[in-house]
Amino acid sequence: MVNMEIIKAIYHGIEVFFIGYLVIYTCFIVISVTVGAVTLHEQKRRRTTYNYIQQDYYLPISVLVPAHNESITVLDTIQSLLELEYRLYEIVVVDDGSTDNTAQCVIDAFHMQKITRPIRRRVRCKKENAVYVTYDYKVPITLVCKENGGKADALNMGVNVSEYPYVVCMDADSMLQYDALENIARCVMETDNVIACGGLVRIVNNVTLEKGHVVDYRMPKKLTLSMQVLEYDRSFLASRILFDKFNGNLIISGAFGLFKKDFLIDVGGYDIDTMGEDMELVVRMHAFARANKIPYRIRYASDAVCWSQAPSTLTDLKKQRRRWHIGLFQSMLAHRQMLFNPRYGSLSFISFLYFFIYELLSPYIEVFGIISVIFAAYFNLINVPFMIGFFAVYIVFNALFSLTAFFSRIHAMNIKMRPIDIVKAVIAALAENAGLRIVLAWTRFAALFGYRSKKNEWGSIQRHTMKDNSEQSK
Amino acid sequence: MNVKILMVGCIYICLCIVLFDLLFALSVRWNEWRQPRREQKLKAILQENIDDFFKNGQDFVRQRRMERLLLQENNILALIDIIQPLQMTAPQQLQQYLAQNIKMFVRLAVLYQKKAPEYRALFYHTVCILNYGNNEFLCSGEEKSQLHELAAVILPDVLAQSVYVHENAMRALANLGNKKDVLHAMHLLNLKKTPLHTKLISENLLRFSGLQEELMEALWQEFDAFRSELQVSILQYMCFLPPQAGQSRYRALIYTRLNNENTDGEVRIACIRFFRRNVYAPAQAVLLQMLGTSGGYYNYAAVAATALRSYPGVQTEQALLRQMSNPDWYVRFNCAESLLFLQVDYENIILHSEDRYAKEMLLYRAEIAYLQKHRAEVQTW
Repeated sequence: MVNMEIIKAIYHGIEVFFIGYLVIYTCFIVISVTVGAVTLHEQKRRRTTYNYIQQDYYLPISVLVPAHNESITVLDTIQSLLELEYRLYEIVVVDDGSTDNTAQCVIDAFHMQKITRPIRRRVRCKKENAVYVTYDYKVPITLVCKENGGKADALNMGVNVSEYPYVVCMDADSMLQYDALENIARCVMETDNVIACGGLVRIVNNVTLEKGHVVDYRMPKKLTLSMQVLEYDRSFLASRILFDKFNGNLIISGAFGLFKKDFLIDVGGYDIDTMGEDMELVVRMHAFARANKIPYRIRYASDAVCWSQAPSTLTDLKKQRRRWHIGLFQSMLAHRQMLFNPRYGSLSFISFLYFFIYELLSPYIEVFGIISVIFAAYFNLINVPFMIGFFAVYIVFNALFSLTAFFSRIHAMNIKMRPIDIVKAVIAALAENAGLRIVLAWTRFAALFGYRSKKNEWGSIQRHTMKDNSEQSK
Repeated sequence: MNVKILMVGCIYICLCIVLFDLLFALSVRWNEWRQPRREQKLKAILQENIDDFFKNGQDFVRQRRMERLLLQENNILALIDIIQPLQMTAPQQLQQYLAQNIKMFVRLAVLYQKKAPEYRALFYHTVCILNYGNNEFLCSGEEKSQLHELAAVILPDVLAQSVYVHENAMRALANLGNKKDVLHAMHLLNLKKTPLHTKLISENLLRFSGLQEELMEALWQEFDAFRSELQVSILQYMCFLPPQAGQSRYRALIYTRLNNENTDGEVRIACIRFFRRNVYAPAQAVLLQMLGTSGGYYNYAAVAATALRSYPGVQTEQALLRQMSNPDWYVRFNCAESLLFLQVDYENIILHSEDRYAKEMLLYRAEIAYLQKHRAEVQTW
């Protein structure tokens, strides 16, 4: 009896905790999706009413493409970069010690010549083995072959090799939309103190692109991919746009981000010892600027679109999310002084706190919640039908917000969807919240097991060419 | 109980979202159906107004009707769609029509001041499209004073908080082609506390539709009154003007600023870049001196190394060759590029010099030059 009283008291505490947790999360989702949807709508209206900077020429940009065993996708990526409608940029591909023939593919495809290029290592990176270049195309393409050092190391090499004052870092399996550079550069020009700007990453597995233009957009056949489409749109629409309002973005996706090169060098470049090098860099930039009282903005350009491949199998998806969670942990650990620190203002009390609780700790909280429910059922403390009803409402609630974010994006980009794709989106939204979320919560929960021995393991993910991607969706 | 409240709250929000999403989707569909029809109707009305003008001349009643229509932003957008093709097919008639209706646009400008910033920005964009600055039918003093009135209405928005409003306002003022208005705008920008993007300002100055010489003179007379960002913008603007614009008259004045160590660093760098495109013999000595400097916040040496390619001669070549051993990577990089540009015979250096860094840099530059030449030949072929 006494034990039962204690158990009830414990469960009352758990109930209060989870109610608070869910209320705050719900409020955040409502606010962020609303702000995101309104912002996208305003942006679309601004475009139609000529409320944007109209210049013939923007900023000179070096586009950095780190590649490790990307022979399948790198040629498509480079070709897509050559089709960008932008005047002044260069392409720098860094082959990070690939064991396949990534470098040779690029050399043969673009008829590159070997040159003896002196490289000034302003940020640390491993040594280069050879440098190739070609001027036969719209913009210069440079290929640097170097010793394997990881993505961060490859990006640092790209920064060292780049000639222009702004660098765009992207992945070798991604394609930029034709106006991506223009839109991200425009975002930088709107305010003079922008040191970094993130773009929107969308999943290309269902899309046909021609010369950087979307010619056909469909929801993927595979449920794993459809769910990720919804997830990406919710994440990019909701939190990034909201955090951009108060200069609180803690992450710029590694698939597409623009940085002011001098500032990137001043903060020491990418950290080669972390898996989440993209987030760690941005957090470090915030910390550096605030510590040195430098006026700055880190922006988010929701109309600068990069189309990237998502893992098509659950196994690959789990590897990716494991890596992301380890990267998140490393970034937050390295900059833990930002938590509850008044010096960082809203960055600390909103952005960092959100990432700490609802990204880093959430898998542990959610798994704990599930285990609590199971034990509560065992102790007969739970009204099972009510619980099922509650979960159903919560799933529908989250699914609706995912769909709102998704359709806001569709509307903003003037994409026409077929009725079958709308049905697929609805099914994916429900499945994502009912099933995938729990699977990924467990994946992230287990991510830090064996952390010390496996912390720098990236794993490999299956890649497809862009042609295969568009055929998959048909 | 608490959980029930949470559930009810969630259900309520879900219903609101579903309702909102459905209504929004319906509204989008409705607009997609209605908008093209509405646009066609508007275009027909506006076209009829313009055609009527061409046939029967100016009519006050028609003008007033047009003015009421153009108070709505959809109609302004429709007007832009009509004007742009007419600029190709009937430019003279269009200019005549716009000249006769300048007063209407001045009144509209005043009325648009009461609207939201995005609609003001749209109106200023429309003023650019109307291209009053190049309208040859605006001859009389009264018509030209109307342009000045229009500019006076637009001017305060140069200080608008929204970057789109002040950018479109500046473009409109530059397009209207009155140097006094542009000068006034620059003075207003001088008062702005927020940082300014120099490139945006210089691009707008380059869009000036009046006489560039007059604008340049007006800006130069007040040059010292501007803060350094605006001075850099003005120098950038003068740098990119075509040679016939007469910026060479200001070389001596810009030279005094270059030679003055108290001049702001960014301004001095802008002066160096000016002298790269506008050769001035006395500037060579200063550039050579700057090439020899080291340290400091501003890397004058690196910028001077690039500028000196416009001053061929033994002195320049020797200075550039000496600086190939400069510890600053960017100085060596730019010197190598300039030496290549000057077609200096540096093979001896590559073959015999003991300076590894100089050899490396020059060899790299030689390879690049070869590849670029090869590309040019292939393109010609």
